[in-house]
Amino acid sequence: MPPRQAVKKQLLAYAMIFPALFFFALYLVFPLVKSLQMSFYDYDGVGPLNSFIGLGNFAEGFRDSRFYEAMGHNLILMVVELVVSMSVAFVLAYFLFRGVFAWRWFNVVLFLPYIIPLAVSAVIWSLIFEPTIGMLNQLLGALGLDSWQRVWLGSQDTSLLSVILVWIWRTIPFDMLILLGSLLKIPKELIEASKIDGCTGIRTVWSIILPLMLPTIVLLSIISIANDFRSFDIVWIMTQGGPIGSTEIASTLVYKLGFQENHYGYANAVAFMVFVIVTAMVGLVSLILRSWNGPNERAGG
Amino acid sequence: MIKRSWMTAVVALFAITSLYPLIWVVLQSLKTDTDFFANQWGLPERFIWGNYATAWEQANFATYYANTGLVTLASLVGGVAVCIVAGYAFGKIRFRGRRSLQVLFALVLFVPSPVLLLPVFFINRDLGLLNTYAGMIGPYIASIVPMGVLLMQSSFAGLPNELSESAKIDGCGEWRTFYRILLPLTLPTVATLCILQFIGVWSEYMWAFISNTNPKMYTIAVGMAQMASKKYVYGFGPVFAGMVITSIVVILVYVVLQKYFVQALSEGAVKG
Repeated sequence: MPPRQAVKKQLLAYAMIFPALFFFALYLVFPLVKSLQMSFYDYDGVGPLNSFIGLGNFAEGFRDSRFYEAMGHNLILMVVELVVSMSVAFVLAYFLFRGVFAWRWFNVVLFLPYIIPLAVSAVIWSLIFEPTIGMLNQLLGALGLDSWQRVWLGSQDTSLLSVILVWIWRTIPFDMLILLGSLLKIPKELIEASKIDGCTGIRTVWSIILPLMLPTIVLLSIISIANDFRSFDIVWIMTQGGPIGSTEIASTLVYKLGFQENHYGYANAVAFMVFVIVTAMVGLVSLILRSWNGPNERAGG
Repeated sequence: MIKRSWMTAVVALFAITSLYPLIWVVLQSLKTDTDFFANQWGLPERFIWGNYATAWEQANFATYYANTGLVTLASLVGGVAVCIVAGYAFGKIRFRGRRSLQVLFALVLFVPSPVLLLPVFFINRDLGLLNTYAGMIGPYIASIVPMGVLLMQSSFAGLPNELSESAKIDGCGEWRTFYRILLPLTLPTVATLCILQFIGVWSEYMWAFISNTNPKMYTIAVGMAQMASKKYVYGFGPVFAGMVITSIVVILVYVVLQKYFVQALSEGAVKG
């Protein structure tokens, strides 16, 4: 290619990338830099940044019990999501894969909790958990389980559990969809062959199907971890992090420290610490699971 | 060997937990409040369609719908277009700095939003974009960029080079080759991006909630949540009706495009 044309082509490439890069830089990269910058200042949100306090905000974060509690709740949410949602989703996906009556209909219906807006789910479930008029307590009463009735969202003992339940309800369909997609890619001959070799159903799942699905499971775990720390809507609408901080998670804490307490520098430091922890976790999980997987199966997924 | 009917029973049980809360909402949306307090399991005594009118008028759903529609359309068209052109450049043109830019885009795929919350607010405040459509559309476009560019890039890269070469021999320039020959072949990926962006933006709550203090700028998710927090003012019936009004568009689009939805979500997750 003559050099002038090559230069023109390069310029065209930059011109085509520019719009994406513009939004990417303005709303994804610049905010990260700005967040880090603000976290070195004591800032109440008014006027310019002028009281530099070095690592003071980070030091405060390491001493702050609210930070540890919020991270703890987020970690519980994450572990329960990874274990419960994924296992239930796997069972459902496997059953759909093996063949269930009317599976097309079930496929449509099972996915609904993921489709309706998260804010709507949050409102629906706060009404279901309502102590007097809520469906759950009425159902328990009707079944004669009055002793199980609770002030679900209003008591510190059950609020986190209730919020996590909604999160599971919401995430199972997505996990199921991804796992089913991966199941459908497994060659039928492999499963037939294992049956001829005398494998029972559960053994086939354990030693043939699960290893083949590992790349998908790794990927799904990473997506789930990232999403668990992104969640805000459900907790904010259902409990606003209460009662007494019992459902506080990273995002609601950052919101409160900033917008409600006007402690923006510190809020940014906390947000940045969450960012580093989540990024480290995602990296760690992918490293561990990949090394398990061995080099020969990396291609799948 | 687990029997087929047993498996169906388990799946059906879960289908009920998925579906019943939604049916419950629709049933309550047609009741008077006394009817709801007395009997929330059965059908309404009388069907109170007026709850929908109350929600629509008093809770300003017309405004929320207009806002959400406009913001979704702009973020969808803008976001997808931006990803298409950048994806083409990354997938089909060799240029300096391509690798490093790609790595940069991939790094941001898993940024948790709490870290973006405050700085994006301040950036938009300084740009005077709080309580504006642009203040929502910009961040929404940015939100699809990392994954969208990746998907479009692999879609373009998968097309054989002979196609564009023969188009050039026929006298097509770079732009025409892209627009006329290659773009139509990537339409399935474009559809995937449209669906992901539609469902993401239409239902988005957190940023719309933080970015707008003016109720005239609320999107439906924010307006509905605000309305629900005043359920004793509006009454339960209209609040339930508001939830139906909020969800109905997404559900309709999902039911009609179910096949594409499933493909879009799994492709978005697996390849992104």
